[in-house]
Amino acid sequence: MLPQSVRKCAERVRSGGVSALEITEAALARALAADGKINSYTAVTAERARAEARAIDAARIRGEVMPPLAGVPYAVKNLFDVTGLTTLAGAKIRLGDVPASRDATLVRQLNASGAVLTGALNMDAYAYGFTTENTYFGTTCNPRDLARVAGGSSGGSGAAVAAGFVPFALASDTNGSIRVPSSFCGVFGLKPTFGRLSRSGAFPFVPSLDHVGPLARSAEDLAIVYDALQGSDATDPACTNRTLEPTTDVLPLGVGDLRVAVLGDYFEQWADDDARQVVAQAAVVLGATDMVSLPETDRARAAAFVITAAEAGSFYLDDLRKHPQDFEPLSRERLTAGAMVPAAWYVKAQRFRKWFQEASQQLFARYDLLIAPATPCVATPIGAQSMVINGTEMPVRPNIGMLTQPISLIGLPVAVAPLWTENGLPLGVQLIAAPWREDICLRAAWTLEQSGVACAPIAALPAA
Amino acid sequence: METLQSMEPQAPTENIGNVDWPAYVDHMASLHGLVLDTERRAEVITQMQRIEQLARRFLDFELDPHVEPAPVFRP
Repeated sequence: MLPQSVRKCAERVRSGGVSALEITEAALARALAADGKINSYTAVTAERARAEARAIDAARIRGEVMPPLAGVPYAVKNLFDVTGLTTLAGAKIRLGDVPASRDATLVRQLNASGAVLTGALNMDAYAYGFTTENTYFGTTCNPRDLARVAGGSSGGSGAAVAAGFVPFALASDTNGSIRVPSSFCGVFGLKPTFGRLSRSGAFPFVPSLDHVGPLARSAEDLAIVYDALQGSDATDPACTNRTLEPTTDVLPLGVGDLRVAVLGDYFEQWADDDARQVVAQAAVVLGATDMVSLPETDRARAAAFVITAAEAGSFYLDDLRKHPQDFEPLSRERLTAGAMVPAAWYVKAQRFRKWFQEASQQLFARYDLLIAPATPCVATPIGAQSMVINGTEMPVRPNIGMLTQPISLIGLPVAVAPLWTENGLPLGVQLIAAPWREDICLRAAWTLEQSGVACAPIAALPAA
Repeated sequence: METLQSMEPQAPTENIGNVDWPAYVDHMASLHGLVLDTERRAEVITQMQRIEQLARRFLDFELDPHVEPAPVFRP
């Protein structure tokens, strides 16, 4: 009865093989039984889920056409507005906020597509982190190894999908927050082009860089959900007016005659043996012919870091002044320093971003798809302060996203496909395309999955 | 084993080195109306040094005057 995949779940509900309510109850029961070990949910919306599922079942009995996600359970990172819930964005300082009076745009779209919301998911406070070690709401454990972090900041989304509580989840990605948990938890993730999906009703972090997108357990599921999320939204000034560009039906095109290259230099330098190995595997399957350099990647990462610090620090300045004692200790001083960044540095970072975007366009004149590791290594142990990459010791929290940050700086679409290392832990590859070519990212992820090198089985959780 | 400092690039062309970060943090805290105890002040100084270390990587990068930040970034 567990919802194994988005497609199968919707098909079974459509055919009447199972009711949406039965699937919803199974999803809620699994989360109730096992989430105590993982801590992925911060709120379970059981009554809402049952009501949405009953509405789907009633519509089917009336003979109505079933929507594409009919009866598919999902959950959202707790920065998305959900009617009746306080939007936490992982932060204790939000606990007293008035509950949301309406759903975020993407939640409304999923609702209209027949999906069933089961709850809100844990994250790093403010989305400022890569480990989902949240001092107030607790650490989200990695379902592949409970002693390791789930990645962040969308760790609850990655963990809930990997644990089989839901076949997909919504998340956000400013510097890597969809791609890092996808890599660490061994699931598929899509960070679409900047501006592709509406952020309206998603709590802001760094408006210049914030993206939203889905995580799922197969490339096809990712495409089905992504297609349901597309659409313009005047309430998000960054959201595109492009016509819908569905991806699900083009997956079987695979990589065909796409020109594929591996990103070298920076992306090789800051990857350990495991990360280089999964990239090599993906390169063989995808027919990558060359290793290429994205110029000035190190500066791009630095620009993303400074833009993040400045915008987030500025955003939280009033709260830092009023009640600093309620802030997440792991990020309070980072935010405080961010509020002190000289404006000239911030503007230079934004100008550099434009330069870097143009430099990347030259690369896409020669290649359709670029491959890089999503993380420098596999999931780090909970509580780890430092990690060693290529003989260099560095702090974990600011550096896990160093391979994702330069790519999101310029808003390129990226799918992450989970490959598996010799020690049995997952490590994702970034499949990067030119702006607005999510179809290419997803076709590459689908190809890796078809070949067998990428997969995202439901994690076997230890008995209670 | 190297440390992260080994990633430091060559000296920047702009004269932003040798900053008195404690004085800067005290001044900005006053400007922003922030009260920092000793521990927080020390950590904010550390974070400013980290931001400076990263900012140095692009501050010395020459850009054409026509490279402007996008009002709304379009990839």
